[in-house]
Amino acid sequence: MAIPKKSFIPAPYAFGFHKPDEYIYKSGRGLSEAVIREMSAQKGEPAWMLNFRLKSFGIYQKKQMPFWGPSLADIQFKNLFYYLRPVKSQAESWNELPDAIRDTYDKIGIPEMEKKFLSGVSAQYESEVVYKSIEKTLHEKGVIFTDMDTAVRKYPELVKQYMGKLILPGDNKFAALNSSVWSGGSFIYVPKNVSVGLPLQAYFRINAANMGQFERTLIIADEGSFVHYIEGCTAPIYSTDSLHSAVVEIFVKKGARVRYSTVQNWSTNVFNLVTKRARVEEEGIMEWVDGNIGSKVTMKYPACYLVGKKAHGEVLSIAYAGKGQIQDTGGKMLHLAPETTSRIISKSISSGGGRTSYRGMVHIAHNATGSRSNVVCDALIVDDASRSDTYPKMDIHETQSVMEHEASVSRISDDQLFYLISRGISVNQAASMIVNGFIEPIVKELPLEYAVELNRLMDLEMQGSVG
Amino acid sequence: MIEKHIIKILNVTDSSFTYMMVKKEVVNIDISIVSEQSFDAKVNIVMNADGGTANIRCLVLPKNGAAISLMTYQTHVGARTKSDLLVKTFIGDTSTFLFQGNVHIGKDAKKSDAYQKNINLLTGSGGVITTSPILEILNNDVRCTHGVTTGTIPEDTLWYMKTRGISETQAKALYVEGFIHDSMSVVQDKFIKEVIYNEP
Repeated sequence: MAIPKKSFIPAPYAFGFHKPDEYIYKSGRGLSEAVIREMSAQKGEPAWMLNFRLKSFGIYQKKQMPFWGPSLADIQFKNLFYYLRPVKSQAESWNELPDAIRDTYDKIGIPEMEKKFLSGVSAQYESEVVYKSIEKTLHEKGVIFTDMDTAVRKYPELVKQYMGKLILPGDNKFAALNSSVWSGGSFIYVPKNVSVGLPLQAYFRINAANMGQFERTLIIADEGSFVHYIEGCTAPIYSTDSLHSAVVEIFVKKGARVRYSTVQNWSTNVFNLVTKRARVEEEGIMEWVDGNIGSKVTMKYPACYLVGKKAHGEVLSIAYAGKGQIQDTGGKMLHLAPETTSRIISKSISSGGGRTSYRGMVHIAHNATGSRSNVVCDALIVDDASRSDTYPKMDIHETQSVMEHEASVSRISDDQLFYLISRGISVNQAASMIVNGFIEPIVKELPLEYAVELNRLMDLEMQGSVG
Repeated sequence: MIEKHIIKILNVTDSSFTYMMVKKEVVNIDISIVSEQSFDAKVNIVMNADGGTANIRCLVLPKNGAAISLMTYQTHVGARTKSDLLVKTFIGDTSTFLFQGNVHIGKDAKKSDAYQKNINLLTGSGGVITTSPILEILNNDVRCTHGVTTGTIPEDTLWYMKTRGISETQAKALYVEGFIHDSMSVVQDKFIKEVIYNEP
């Protein structure tokens, strides 16, 4: 069937504005022990944290780059700024923020969101959380929701006990890098049997050419608690390559449930290399909801270590790769206890020469009796120039377990397109509808405004991409 | 169209099989790997001819703690090529099976259809199955799917047979036989049959 070809004028990057830099402190380019010491001193950190950073730096220098996956040769480690500090101290209210920063946030719509139903916004502009508002009720419930730097000062015992315990600095090169130069990120502690009704969220932005952003997030959900954390990213366009390398550690205690949602829309020059891991204890539930739309290269495989009986882990992920983009995403499930269950659903779309890869692992250990795992990955290749790969690995050591994996790769079907066109819908609209329908099962898991944003982004990306 | 049937037994001394399809045909390939010795097997199918079809069935039975790895390649070069791979493995002891299946659909292999299926039955405690089915797809006008399942003998199936007066040992042997049957119905090899029927 012949479908009319349409000329395609790429839409300008919707969130690609950028504000002049305004920093109180900016480290030199490149990384050395001196930079780390300077940074730690600037932050006024205790000695144990400086030691942690220096030790991690030593590991970072020794570690090799990953030998698998997309090429990372374009990262100019020597040209990056490893620490930036935009304002002197943390602002207490919205009006205290510098105009440029407030303006940036206005564009991504933080005040409006706040007015709505969101409880806490802790916005990260560059390496520092500059603005945060925490709802009173969080305090009353005993929930701690703050940035990591504050947590190091105010709750050193908790941080010492958990930070770097799930993702050791030696885990991989980028975890080591993050451990040595981390800055910002969120710290959440939810006490026993406390359910946080509203999602907690933080907005991240990078705003300096060549800047590396290394936030560190630590979430501890004590027994029987529930929390939903959302991070959303939109970043301005720059011509030189930037690096974003975060580490997220989540501890889900007995019977607790944590949901971590991400919508990532970095501009297409950012390397997004993130290590995310959760440790799930008895009857705990961990859910990762992950939307990857932007960036040049994303490598992200949220993991669940199911260490307690009847623990459950879930990864729901959407990846979109447009021109020049590589989305190497997936999930990891380690079944280390009996009757643990897991589910990975991955949907990817590649168009305009983009490449999506699913890379995942399921491990069922010996004695993890009665464990079940289900993995589904669907890929949609929109045009001829694009590519899609699937690299799963399943490691089964237990007879009393069930593991299922299925994957399919397809295109937008001619029949579906024809049907919609014959109903008077334009080709582009029809393609958008099909793509939005394809990712629907995951989008509906996101909070409403993110779902709307994601659908809009998909519409934008899909414009004229079908021929 | 010409239809061919190839039966191949891979073992330590003869561990790889390659088939290059140069003209349009339908080829059915049955591969058996039954071994007490560890080795790395390789099956390589290259679909060069436009419109060719290959159906590949592999039966893998590692015995006595053997570690067997199987690498399969389904490389689609020609247009409208179709390949269908089924790998069935049964492990009843502490043997290890490592499977890596590679489906590669090239730029010019339009309207191709590739299927890859790996079904594993693991009843031996200490047995390990590692499976990694890989798809690499470089054009959008294709249909490509794969599936992997690993499991053990379902309790309800065993129970059903036991209520019919079949002993547990017999029931298990029946289940294993049924599991293997569809991938080996054409294999006449006596040794393989012995292996299956001697299964406890």
